[in-house]
Amino acid sequence: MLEKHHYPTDTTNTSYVDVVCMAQMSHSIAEANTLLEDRTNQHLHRGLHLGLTFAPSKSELLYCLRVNSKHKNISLSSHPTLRVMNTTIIPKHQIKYLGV
Amino acid sequence: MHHCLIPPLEGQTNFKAKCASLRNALFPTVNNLPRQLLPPNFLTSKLDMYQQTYPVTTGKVFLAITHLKYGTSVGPYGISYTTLHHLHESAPEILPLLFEACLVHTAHPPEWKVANCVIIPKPGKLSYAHAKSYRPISPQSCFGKLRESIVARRLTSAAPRCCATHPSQMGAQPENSVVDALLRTFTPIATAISKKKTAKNGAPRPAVLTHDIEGVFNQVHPSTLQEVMQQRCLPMYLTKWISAFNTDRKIAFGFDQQSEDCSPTSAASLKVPLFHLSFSSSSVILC
Repeated sequence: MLEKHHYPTDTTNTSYVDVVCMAQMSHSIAEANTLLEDRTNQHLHRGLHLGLTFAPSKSELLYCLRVNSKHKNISLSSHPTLRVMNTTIIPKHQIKYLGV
Repeated sequence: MHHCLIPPLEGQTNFKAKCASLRNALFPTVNNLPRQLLPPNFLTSKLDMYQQTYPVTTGKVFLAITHLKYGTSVGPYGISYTTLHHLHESAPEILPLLFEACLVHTAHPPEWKVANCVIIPKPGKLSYAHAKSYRPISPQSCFGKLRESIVARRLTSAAPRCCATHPSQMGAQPENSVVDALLRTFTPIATAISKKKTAKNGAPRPAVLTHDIEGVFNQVHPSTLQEVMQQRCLPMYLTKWISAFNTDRKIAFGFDQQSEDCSPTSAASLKVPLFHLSFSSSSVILC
């Protein structure tokens, strides 16, 4: 039953052992946040049976914007918030993913 | 034995108490905790390999021996990979017989489940007064590690066929690497933001969210792992062998120029491919 779940084409899931990376394309940051929260909750729900959960303190969020985007100069704290397991994930200008 | 003195850990100053702090923090005992049974048919399989078996051949042992990482620690019995290599060259029938018997009888000898654990401070920590500021290194018997690598290869081969590893899982896959994982994640993003903005579709706003699974190596309950492997219809002998592998493991800490007696621990020292394949397959949370 789990295999039947598919995300739309504008999403990507990649895992590397215990690191899960979700990429989300959307037309606004608020929408991206909502969709990412939904996807995270779906993962958490399915992981319940295995006693697995995420460590929200280690979660990282990155918005990929064009170099000339007007949003580049906006403070990251002004973006809508993304919450995972009652923890607010603060977006960053750069993240460390798989050691890179 | 590590020569640097370890400062008081979690307020504990004597060696035994420090060992207990380290054991609780680094190898929590999930085995005794209550757990939820997996619902029937929670997972499915593309192929039923439950009854399949394959003999351990001389060639497979040789292949495993040639891919070992030479120069690593020899474990409690002082037998190195080089010794095993020479043994296999001079008497190629011994190791396949031994390993085949272990698989047939689903046994992993207790001597191979013992590890002497040293702890190494993780760099860049503000305080070294907490057990989590240290990384455990547990050299084990080279015999056991060779055996594990043979099983890991079998799991690597069987898991995708049983739908037990998701295509998005890049770790410990023979044809995937970190670079593949990065490309898979960032190529669609680069494509999206390089597209021209149109009146109909505004500028795309790709976002990337990364999560770490909490304490993943310690959180796998051996019974859950067994259930997952059964529901995925992985070969029965592998499922049973991994169950034997997971139980009655012992570890002895050595630091501050002292060493303790072996005590039971959870199987946190599982080799990554073996662990990953069985576990991530389970997983649901990763797919």
